[in-house]
Amino acid sequence: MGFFSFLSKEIAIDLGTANTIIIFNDKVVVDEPSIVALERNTGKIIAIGKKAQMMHGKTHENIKTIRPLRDGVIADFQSAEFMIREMIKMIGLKNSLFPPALKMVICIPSGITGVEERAVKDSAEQAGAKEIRLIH
Amino acid sequence: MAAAIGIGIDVLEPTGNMVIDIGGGTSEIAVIALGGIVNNTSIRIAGDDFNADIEEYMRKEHNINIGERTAERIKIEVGAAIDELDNPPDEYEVLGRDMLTGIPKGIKVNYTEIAQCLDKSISKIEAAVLNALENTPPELSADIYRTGIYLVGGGSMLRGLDKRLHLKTKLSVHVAEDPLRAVARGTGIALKNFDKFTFLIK
Repeated sequence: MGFFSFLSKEIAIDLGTANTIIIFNDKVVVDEPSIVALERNTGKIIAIGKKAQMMHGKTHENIKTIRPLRDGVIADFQSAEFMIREMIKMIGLKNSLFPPALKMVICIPSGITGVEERAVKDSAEQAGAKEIRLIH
Repeated sequence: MAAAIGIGIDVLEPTGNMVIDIGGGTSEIAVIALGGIVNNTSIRIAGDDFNADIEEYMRKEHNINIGERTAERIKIEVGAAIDELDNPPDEYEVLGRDMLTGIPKGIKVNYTEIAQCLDKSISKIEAAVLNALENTPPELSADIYRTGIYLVGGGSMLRGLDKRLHLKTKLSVHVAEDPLRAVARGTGIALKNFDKFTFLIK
């Protein structure tokens, strides 16, 4: 905290199998289905959230929709990380000069193993979190 | 834990509360007291399995192939946990592919059918709840008898689930308001108490 605290942002994430919700400044800013749509040959992300959900089950062979979470834990590490990063972008932080230092609390299922816990933390770190706490 | 905070329970108090979170991938039953989880049961049966049950049921009973999204819609529109509801939802038209002819078709389903096809999965959740109650220390059991069970998560919006759990356990069952966001709200509150809540995992 202290002098540079205006550069840090606090967000809370409920990383769910079905929906991911992000709370920022006491308000729900993102409430989207946990789905990512990828282009198969380039591996580029086409859409996440509601837009990707519209595509789910209706894709042709060049598009793949992935639900990065299965049974409450991260099953596809890379797309989970993409999803978290994109959803954090959706908050619309204005501070573009410096990427803000993120302070995060993420909710995890209580039956999770140590490895799965690690996966959640790593994904969040990759997505730009500086301080992370997990809550059951 | 986050769910308990989200519905406004003071988790640091020395009283026991039982919270059931039925999400997309897992259902979790936890007894919480003094800012910690006393015992928890986590089973991997939840919303996604309900969808799979509905898909299979449609295939077997009506010879119609449907996708995951349609199954989800059926669950939301006419999903139920018991056969007799006080205010039943209207019949819902399911669109999909006829397995015999391969031609797209639509059929009507009502909530009693869905209640039957979800019965198996819901019994497993019931069994897990009973198991959790069995493993609760007696002093906390006494608290739970008074406070009842709290239901959160998308699965708690299934019609008649609270009633079904009430019939099984004879305890009062409360569905949280806005159950989909209860966990997120709790996580938000935990964020404000970043340094105060000692149970946050570093």
